[in-house]
Amino acid sequence: MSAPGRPGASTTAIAWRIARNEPVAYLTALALWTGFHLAPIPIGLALKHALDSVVAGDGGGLGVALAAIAGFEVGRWALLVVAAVQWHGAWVGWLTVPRVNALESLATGGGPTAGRLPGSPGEAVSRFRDDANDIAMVLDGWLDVAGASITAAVGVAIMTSIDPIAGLSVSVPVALALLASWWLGPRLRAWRRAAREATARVTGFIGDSFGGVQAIKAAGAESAVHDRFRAINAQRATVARRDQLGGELVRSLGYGTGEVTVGIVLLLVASAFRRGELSVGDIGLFASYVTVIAGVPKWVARLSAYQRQADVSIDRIAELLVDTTDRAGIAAPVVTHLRHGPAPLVVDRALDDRLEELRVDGLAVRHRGADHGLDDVAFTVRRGELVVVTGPVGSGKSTLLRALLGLVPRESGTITWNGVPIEDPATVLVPPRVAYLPQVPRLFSEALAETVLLGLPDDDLDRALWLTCLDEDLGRMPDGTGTMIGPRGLRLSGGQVQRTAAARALVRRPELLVIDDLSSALDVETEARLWARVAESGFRTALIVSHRRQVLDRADRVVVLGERYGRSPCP
Amino acid sequence: MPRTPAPAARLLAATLRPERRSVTRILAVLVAAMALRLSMPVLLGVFVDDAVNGRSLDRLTQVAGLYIGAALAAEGLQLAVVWSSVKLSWRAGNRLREQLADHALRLDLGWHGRHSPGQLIERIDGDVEALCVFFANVVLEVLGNAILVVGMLAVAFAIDVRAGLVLLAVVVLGTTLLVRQRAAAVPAREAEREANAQLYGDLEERLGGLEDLRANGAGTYAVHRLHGHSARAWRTARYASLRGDGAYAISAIAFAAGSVSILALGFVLHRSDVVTVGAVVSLFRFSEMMRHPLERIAEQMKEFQKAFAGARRAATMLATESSIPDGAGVALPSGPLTVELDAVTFSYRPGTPVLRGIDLVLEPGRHVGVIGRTGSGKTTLGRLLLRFWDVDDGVVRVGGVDVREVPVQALRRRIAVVTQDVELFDASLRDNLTLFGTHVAADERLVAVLGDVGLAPWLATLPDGLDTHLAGSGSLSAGEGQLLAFARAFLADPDVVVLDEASSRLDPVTEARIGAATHALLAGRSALIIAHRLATLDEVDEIVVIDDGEIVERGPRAVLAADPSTRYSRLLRISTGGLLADEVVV
Repeated sequence: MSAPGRPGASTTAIAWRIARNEPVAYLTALALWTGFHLAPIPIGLALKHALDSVVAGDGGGLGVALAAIAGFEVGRWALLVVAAVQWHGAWVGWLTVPRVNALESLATGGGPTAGRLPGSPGEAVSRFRDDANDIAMVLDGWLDVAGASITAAVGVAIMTSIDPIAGLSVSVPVALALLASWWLGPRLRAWRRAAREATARVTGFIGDSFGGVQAIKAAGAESAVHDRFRAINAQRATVARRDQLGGELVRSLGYGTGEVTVGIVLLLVASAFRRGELSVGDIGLFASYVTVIAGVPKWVARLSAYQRQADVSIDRIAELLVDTTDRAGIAAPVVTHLRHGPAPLVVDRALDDRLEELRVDGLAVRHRGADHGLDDVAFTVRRGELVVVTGPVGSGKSTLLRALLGLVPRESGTITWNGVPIEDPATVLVPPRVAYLPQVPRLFSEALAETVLLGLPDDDLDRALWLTCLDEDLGRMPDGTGTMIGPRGLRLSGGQVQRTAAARALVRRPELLVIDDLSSALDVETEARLWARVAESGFRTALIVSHRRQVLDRADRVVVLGERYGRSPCP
Repeated sequence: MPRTPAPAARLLAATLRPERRSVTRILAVLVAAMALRLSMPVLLGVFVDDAVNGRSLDRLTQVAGLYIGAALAAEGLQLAVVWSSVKLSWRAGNRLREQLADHALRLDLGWHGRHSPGQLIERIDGDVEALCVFFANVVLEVLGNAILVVGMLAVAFAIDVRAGLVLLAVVVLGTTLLVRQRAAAVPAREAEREANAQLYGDLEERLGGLEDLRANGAGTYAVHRLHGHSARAWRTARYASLRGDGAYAISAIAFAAGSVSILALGFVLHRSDVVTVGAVVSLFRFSEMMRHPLERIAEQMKEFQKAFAGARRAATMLATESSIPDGAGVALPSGPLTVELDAVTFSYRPGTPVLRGIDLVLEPGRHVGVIGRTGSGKTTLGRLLLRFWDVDDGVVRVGGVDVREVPVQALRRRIAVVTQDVELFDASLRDNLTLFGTHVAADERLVAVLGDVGLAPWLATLPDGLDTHLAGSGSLSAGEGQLLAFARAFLADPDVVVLDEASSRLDPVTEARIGAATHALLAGRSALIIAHRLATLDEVDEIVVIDDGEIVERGPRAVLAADPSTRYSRLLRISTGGLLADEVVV
């Protein structure tokens, strides 16, 4: 029932789709774990013979039975190691499928980026971590339920063949346990949801606080942050405790059922045993099989609990997709590279429609549901032109660039590239057509070269570094372009961060360079030199936000945005 | 490589110490639950003997009924124990989380430069989570099963000394194997967690920079990295499993050998009429039950290994000392402060000084403008003043006191820095302004300050006013963010102000509009103003030009501006368009 792309596909269908991504791995795990679960069956039979030999004083029979027990035990545990190692690999595979789908959608899917993350990046990480885990738990649950059920069926059959009453008496408590877990289900789900949300608040707060550690330190706000952290920790503890108790109830249901059922079987077979129709070995076999059979509700309850959790988790990961209603999208087939790692990245930089003219007409943006934004903006950038956007704070300069690039949704307006309308600029206005330098660029904690190239070959690196005057800074860095720049480029100066981001855009050799306020972080001289070098390299077509005189003077065209406040049409 | 468990163990002990009383209470209930569990195999043996000896059906029914009753009661008590230990684990775990977060917050920025927020989420929450699971389960699974094992041994010895000895041998062997293998599995487990920490750390960063990635066509590269990290997780997880589960299997086999030995021994003892068949059944159940606690303990081993690895990292983090030791407690004089840099040399990395022999005096209430190329070390001045870093050589004095002698927080409360990077939090506007209540101010004051910096119209558009939730840095324009930073500085009411490119993201109109507010902020305060836009420096008393970490020019602003040969006047001319870029002499 896993119609691909169908909104509202069931949890089972989605989990199954993930399993099918690497069917051999899943079937191998299924076979190995079923084998492991089945081991108590032959061991129980051998035990029956062993106990009967003890009663009969038959030394030879005992020797055979004990040898069989020993053999099966060694085989069982050896099998476990193989199964566990294989399972750990398969497990990572199950986690990887929704992760890759979510990240692919976030980082390369169409449509605007704005609002793509429902919360902070730290909160989103909890979706990649905990929610992916929950879904994988369902796949894992199936392995155990399958193995345990097959084992239970065989066990019940053997018990029934010895004494029908014994076989039947097992089923009643097991059914009751399933009923109880069914009652628990909806509650468990609600508790789990609350616990997850509280966890996400905590991880979000940690990520956020350390992301802004400099502001916290500068203000001496450590204690205030501590107090706040304490408060959200306390809230989380309340809901998480309840959630854990729910999990324990399910576990107890399974284990308790086993022991109680042993008692019930004893009760019901007492007269047959007393009459000598059952041997001591039979009682021993019953006791050992009942424990295994009564384990089934535990596995089923565990699976159904995870299945309910996974239901929430699937929605949470699906919220990261382009089409947030397409639950099945998280399980789309993925080529994983777990065993050998991915092959080196090859970026396609071919371009067939070189920029002649980019035209924007009637562009309107309303963002954040607020009553301000951009109205009816129109401008043109032709090959070789420098177009500057300027205007007061909050007039929507950055918004204009981001709407053009499809990073925020536009309400209306057309964008054409050489006269061809562009529906989804987010996937079209990217390198090699357009490269972008945001006002507050985000660099990644890796080597300088890597954060500039982001997967491109390094043949253009030196040129880009020269253009942005970073060549002069390199000498002062310990490992040159291999220097680690720290999280978000924390080890670079503000201007270096900006110029690194400029290099990142230039190294992509875009037809059009879109720059949001390079001047703010650069001194006059450096900026002047940067522009001189860029001009010298023959590179010219650019759309730039700036209010620096020097830049405005060189512009071929200036787009002036008005003040937005006070322009609030309808309430 | 030899690894000492001492710091991790000490940390665990310290975290649990305040919980001694609850632990005692939990233990009492646990002992009762385990006694009930212990009674069940004995009852099974009695049942078998009674049947073999032809006792009445009523008697057999009674024994079976007792068995059921014991099973139910044991389950109830166990739930009670779980509830208490879960509560305990959250108390202790959250205490540790808070301790770690607090400690990490107080570590120096150099340390933070090496640890991404994503990694810290894993350290402060992920690792402690493993510890929490451990706290919640250790009592029940490890301690409870230990009690059970001791009880079973006692009963076995009571039945027959030889049987007791066999079981004891099994326990000793199993435990020895466990302990040996556990130590060997920790590094593998640690490598697995490290691989995961990297995976999540990288994800957190990429998710925080989605716009940059997408608009530069690097989304595929982010996915490529995820594949790389996943492959590493795959390798480390399988290896850790081989070590961990291998250990588990070996001890499980040891226990199976115990069951076989018990049956063989039971055969001999029964044939010589030393024990009944029921006793053999009880002993066999015990030997099987031995394996069950072992399985539980082994399952916990995984948690234990995780917890132990986590505790070790936590202990390491707590043992990390800030490279900025807190000052001894010399108080700063009240009122406007003198700032003095005396032959200051500083480098972020040894051998590449950012500042060299800087001498700079900022008299109380005076304003000094600092200009220089990017990377020339201007921003570092502010960082040294705030003691984000300590000088390599020379002294930084504030109010005549070496900053290293002043308590760090006291120092920072007196100095406000407005930088080009405004860090906003996923919290209410109020919390963003007061930094979670650090600056104590009534709402009226907050609104007034927002008005002063020109954010009143913006405030009016917010649905919930000061309670409006700002979803991190994405919810304001960069200019609005910077105005917010000005508002923060006002609320801090500092004696020294450092404006580091503070108005760089403001357009000239807005800048002029908050000019009055800036004026008010700077009035009567000492100020260091770092700027690219020279217009920002029109009102400073003195100008300092820094190049490549050294002061290359300094003097009263008016004097430098009037002299056409100075760098300052040349820069003035570039910025007003009087010079073309290619004429700039560097």
